[in-house]
Amino acid sequence: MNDEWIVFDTNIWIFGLRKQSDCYQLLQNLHKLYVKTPYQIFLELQANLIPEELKRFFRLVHLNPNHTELSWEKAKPEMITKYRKLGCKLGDAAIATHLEMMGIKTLVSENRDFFEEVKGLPFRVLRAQEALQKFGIGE
Amino acid sequence: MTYQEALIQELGSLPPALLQEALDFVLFLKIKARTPEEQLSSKIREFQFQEELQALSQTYQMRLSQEGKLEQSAEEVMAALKQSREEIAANEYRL
Repeated sequence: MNDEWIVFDTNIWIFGLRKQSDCYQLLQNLHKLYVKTPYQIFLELQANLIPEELKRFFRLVHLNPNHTELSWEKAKPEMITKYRKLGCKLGDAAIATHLEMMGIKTLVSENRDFFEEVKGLPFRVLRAQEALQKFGIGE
Repeated sequence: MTYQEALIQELGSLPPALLQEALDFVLFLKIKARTPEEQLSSKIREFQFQEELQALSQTYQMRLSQEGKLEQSAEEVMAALKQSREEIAANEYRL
């Protein structure tokens, strides 16, 4: 089982809520993982969920107080600029900055292109299925 | 009539929604019987969590269905998320 803090990209939450198998399985096992939600990802979830759904999302976080955390800290502009120079789009640069600021070493994302061409990132990107295997979750 | 027979008879007469609640309560009693007191609250929280996740997923999918978005392909969903990421970041971080 995994005891490091990780980040679920927005697509993991959204595909999970759509019951895409691997992503849903990750959400079902949230209580076995340590998952932080940085500000940019929270804003993206807020844009994709209506208030009633967002309330339920907060309840999920509240039911897992030791395993899930929301961060309200904005990404530092100078670090965003650093990732922009490495070739990241602005949104991806914000995510990379959040991960570096929080000292996170693993991002779980279904986005194949995410950071593929960017070298020297201080974290790895795992697909949902890889994360399930890596963290020993699932059937 | 034994307690068991009476219970089966009563359960059989419940409307489906109430029957589900009764079954949830039976599950709770089974967990309680097996689990030491100190582990009970975390088991209940986990059970509540799974229920809440299921409810959120159902509500979300129902809304997507009403909006005609439930059948979107993974590529379409991903494209929309990428666009939303860039819009939000552009709004938050005007560098």
